[in-house]
This record gives sequence, structure tokens and C-alpha cells, in this order.
Amino acid sequence: MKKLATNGIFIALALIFSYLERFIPVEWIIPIPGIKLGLANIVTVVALILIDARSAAVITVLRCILANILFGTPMSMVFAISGAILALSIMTVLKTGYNRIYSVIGISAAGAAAHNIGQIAAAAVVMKSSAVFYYLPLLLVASLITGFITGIIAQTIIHRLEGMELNTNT
Amino acid sequence: MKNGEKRKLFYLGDFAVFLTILILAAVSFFLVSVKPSGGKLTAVVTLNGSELYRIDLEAVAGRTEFEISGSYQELLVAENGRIRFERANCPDQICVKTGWISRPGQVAVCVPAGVIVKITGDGGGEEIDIFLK
Repeated sequence: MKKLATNGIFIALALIFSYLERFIPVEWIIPIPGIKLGLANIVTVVALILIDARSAAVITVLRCILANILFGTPMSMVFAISGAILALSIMTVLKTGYNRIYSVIGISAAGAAAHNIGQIAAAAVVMKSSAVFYYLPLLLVASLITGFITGIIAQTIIHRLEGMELNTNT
Repeated sequence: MKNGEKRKLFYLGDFAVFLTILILAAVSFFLVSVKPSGGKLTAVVTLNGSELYRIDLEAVAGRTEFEISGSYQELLVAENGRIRFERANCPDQICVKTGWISRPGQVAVCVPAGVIVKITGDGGGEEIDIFLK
């Protein structure tokens, strides 16, 4: 399948996940700024493993921009992109050990944790206060759980899609 | 990978990742829970980094309201020894759901509005009960 078409489909899917996530407001139960399931991260992880790091980055950054234009604020867009860049970086590094040292679940959990560190750091800069780091410990524990769940889902999807040639240009 | 080939669900590195996250959580928890020593129980309210109110929570007699008008309208309420966001017209309402905070080091944040309420243990001078900037 052409990569451009694949990327388009993945961005659309990621947007749907971002939309669906609005109906699962984790912050109603655990009122912490920045807490969420991270369903759209499933798409990023699948793209990273099955296509390549560049496509995963394009898909994720475009999804952050589009989702926050539709459902967010300029500020939430800054947080999301900061988190996404850190998450993409760490997951790209860990991918080099995919199926040898790390499974999708480990890669996904690392991405979730990195995302939270990135968005808290961005929040500290925007709000000009380090007080927001108060929520980092809880967010990290939460990211372990959510990253684990989204990792299992991503792994299932990857196993099913592996026969398809998503990363070819022909 | 071909059918029939066995693949592991977890690898050793995964546990290293999980452990690293837990260690980071523990270390950051330790860092943010270092309590300020002594002094009065004070709530410091900032809007986008600049201080709005410094409220001596031990001196507050009954219910005291503080209004904040930035990009959103918010109502802070202080009682003896505690403070909370009572009302806000921000989109996520996380600040309101955070509820009362009362211990030194505790933080309530309204990210959309850029408002942070932080409780410190060292309230500074005794001559000022409620210091408005």
C-alpha cells in the first residue's frame, strides 16, 4: 500500500481515537491535569512498528494539531506536541530493540511516561511555575497502567496487520 | 513473523522500563513531598507565574472568597486551614474536582486558566494576614 495513503488512514484513525477518548473522562475519577488513557498512542505505536519512525512522527504531530484544533485549546496543543515529541523520541530509540529486548508493551509504557514528562515540562514553562511537577509522580504511575493497556491493544493490532505491506511505496 | 513461530509477550527490557517508570515516580514523589519547614500555613495563588494572593490559612476567619478574572472566571474559597476552587468556568473543571487542599506542599491547578494554588508552610511575616498584590 502506498505510504501516503497509509499515513492518511492512520491520521484519521488517531483522530477517531482522540475523539472517542473524550467519552472516557479519566479526570472525572482522578482529577489530575493531563491524565488520560492515551488511546491515540495505539496508532503511534502501530505506525512506529509497522511503518517507520518518520511516518509515526508525521501521524502523531498532525493528529495532535488536528485533535486540538477540533477539541482543544492552543495551550493543550502545546502540551500534547511537547509530550508527543518526547514520547516519539524514546519509543524510536527503544524500537531498535523490538522483539529482542522490548515488546510493544514496554515501548508503549515508555512512550506514555515520556509523554507525561514532556507535557508537565511544557506546562511548567507555560504557567511559569514548577508547582505542576506536584502531579508528576501520580501521572507516571498512571502512565504505567495506561501505557500497558494501550501496549497490549497495539500488540494485538500489530500481530493482525503484520502480513500487510504498509511500509512500501509501490 | 510466520505463523506457528512463537513470540514472547514480554522481554527483559520491558521489566526494565516498568521499573524505571516506578523509580522515576518514587524519586519525583520524594522531591515534591519535601515539606517546607515550620511557619504559618499559607496558600500562594499565582496567575501565569505572577502572584495574586498570599493567604494566611490560619488567620482566615470563616469563609473567605477570592475572585480571579483571567482568561476564565474562578472563585477560590478559603476556610480555616484549607482552600479550594469552588467555581470556575474553565472547560475541564479539574481544578474544582481537586477539592480542598490543606497540607503544606499540596497544589491545586487550573491549567486552562493558568492559576496555581500552592500551600506552603512558611507564611513569612506575622504582620500581614491577607496580603493582596
